[in-house]
Amino acid sequence: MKKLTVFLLIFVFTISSAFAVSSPKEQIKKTVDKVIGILKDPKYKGEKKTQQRRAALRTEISKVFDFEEMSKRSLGVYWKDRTPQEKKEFVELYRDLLERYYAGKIESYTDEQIVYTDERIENGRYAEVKTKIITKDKKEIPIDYKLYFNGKEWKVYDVVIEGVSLVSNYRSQFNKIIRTHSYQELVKRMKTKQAEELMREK
Amino acid sequence: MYSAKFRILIIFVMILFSSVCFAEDKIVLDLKGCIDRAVNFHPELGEYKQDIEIYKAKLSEAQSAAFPQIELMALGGPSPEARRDAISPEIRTDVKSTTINGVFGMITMQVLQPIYTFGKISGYRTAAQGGIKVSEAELEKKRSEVILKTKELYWSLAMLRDLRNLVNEIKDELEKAIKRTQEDLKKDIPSADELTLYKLKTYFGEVKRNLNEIDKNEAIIIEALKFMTGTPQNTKLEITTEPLKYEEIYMKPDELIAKAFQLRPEMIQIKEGLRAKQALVDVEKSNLYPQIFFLVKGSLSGATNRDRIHNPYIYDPLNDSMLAAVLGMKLNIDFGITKGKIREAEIEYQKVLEKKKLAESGIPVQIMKAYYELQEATKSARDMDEAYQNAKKWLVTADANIDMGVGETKDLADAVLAYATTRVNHLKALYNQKMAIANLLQASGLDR
Repeated sequence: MKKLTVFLLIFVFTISSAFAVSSPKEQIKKTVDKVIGILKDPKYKGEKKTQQRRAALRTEISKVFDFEEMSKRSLGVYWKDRTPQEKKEFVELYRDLLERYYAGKIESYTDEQIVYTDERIENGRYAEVKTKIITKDKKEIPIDYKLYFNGKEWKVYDVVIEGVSLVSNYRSQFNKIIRTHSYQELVKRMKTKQAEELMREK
Repeated sequence: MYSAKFRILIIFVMILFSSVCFAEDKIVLDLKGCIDRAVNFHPELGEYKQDIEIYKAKLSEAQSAAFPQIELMALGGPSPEARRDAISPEIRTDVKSTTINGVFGMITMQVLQPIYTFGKISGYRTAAQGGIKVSEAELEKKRSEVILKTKELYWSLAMLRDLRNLVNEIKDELEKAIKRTQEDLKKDIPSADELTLYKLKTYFGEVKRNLNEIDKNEAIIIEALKFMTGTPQNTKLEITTEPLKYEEIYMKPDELIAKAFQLRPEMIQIKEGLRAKQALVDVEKSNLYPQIFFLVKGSLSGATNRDRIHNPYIYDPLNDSMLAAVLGMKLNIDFGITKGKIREAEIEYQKVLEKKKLAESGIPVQIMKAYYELQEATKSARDMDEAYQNAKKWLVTADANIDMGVGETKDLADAVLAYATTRVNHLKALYNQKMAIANLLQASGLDR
């Protein structure tokens, strides 16, 4: 009887935990809502607040994006050849530049409507959330998020803008540079870009 | 002089009056609204509507020919004197009847009821009915042209607005790029240079020129639509347009040709024209036969200075009464005039038959031409749709690579140029598809 009670308690706890996990769509919606909240917040408005706004945006974005997974997928076959130090350095660089890119894109859509068109979950592990930004002139910009379940929550591992997978695009571009030049050249170019962005922020 | 309250009242009245005087009405229309208004209010259609009225009047005339025709005449004038004693007890022939010392009055009346005309009256009636149908079809033909012209203006406006969105999009990006380059130059960022700044500013000027041209063209189209829809000059016309989109369309040419033979105004004109011309041939042929009628004729006259004589052998037109009901027949005999007129009417009928042959062979050609044009326009629109999707992908890719530090500025410039060019061609292809659909619908008589 005691064993059964323990089993039931564990079962109920597991079930309730499973239901407590947000769906991929909810996860994305929560982040997008927070991002829009930041963009509409008067304390982040204006050119002088650009740095604070960007920092707040990047904080929110980093909560749902798995940059290590994205870096790994973007480097493809060249990931396994990297030392732990190189991997760490690359992920940091990648995170910084991608956060800026994504924040910059989102920042330009301030009064537009965001529509969640579809959610697809495969084997309970992978998911795709399709969204559409509808601009003032009724132009539709599809942005889809690819997510995986890490056991606790859903994390984004790719963003598809207008049908272009950022990860696939970066993988082909990175591979081209590594093949024609070297991994070091790729990192050098990314660092140059980061340095320029930092100079701009000053 | 005036109290403050009175002055305020005057100002209030003046403001109210001026706002009433200058209040301009506003009409908001979409494509359907434009077409509905154009087919009802286009200034050119009035003339064609009057043609229908003429044939309606002719029909009324023909229908009335079956009713009796009454001729009534009243006369009055000086009367020469004539007394009974002039003929009694003996007839005197030297009476001077020129002694005018009275007046006379006379009323004559004739009622003619056609009984049998060998098809003359029904022929005129059928011809007038055909005339109405032919005029109505002519009006429909004109309406069809008006619909096509309205669609052309509407889709031109939609394309222009989509072009403006594109130009504004490029303008916004250029503005951002110019600002960023200027700031980069101030901060001595290595990738920034003056050359890029001048290049961007040159493009910016060109973009603004394009916007001015779009504004001008939009204003001209709105004015043209005002004319088409019969909108008064002091009324503001607002046209709502949706972004141009590729349309998946499937039409069977055989069905369209069959529809065209039923619905095209030209075919209706030929069908009704043949009926009317045949009726006119019958009318001319009826002149070969007598017109049979019933006639009632009467007259009543009286003079102040003449005696009424009740003698059937003596007739005094100024002092007499008569009533007669007769059955009559009238026949005009000529030696070739009637036959010539019949031949002329038959040739007119043959002319319409020739038109029928031309239409029966010409309409399928016209439909097939419009059909192949639509096929081409649809394929081009689909191909340009795909090209535009790829241009967007190219732009996103180039942009993402630049922001990751792994792309070239030249790639981005090429992508922007390709995006703009492809979008312009895409919009043109979408416009061509819309017009090709409109042309095919018109050729098939399905545009109403």
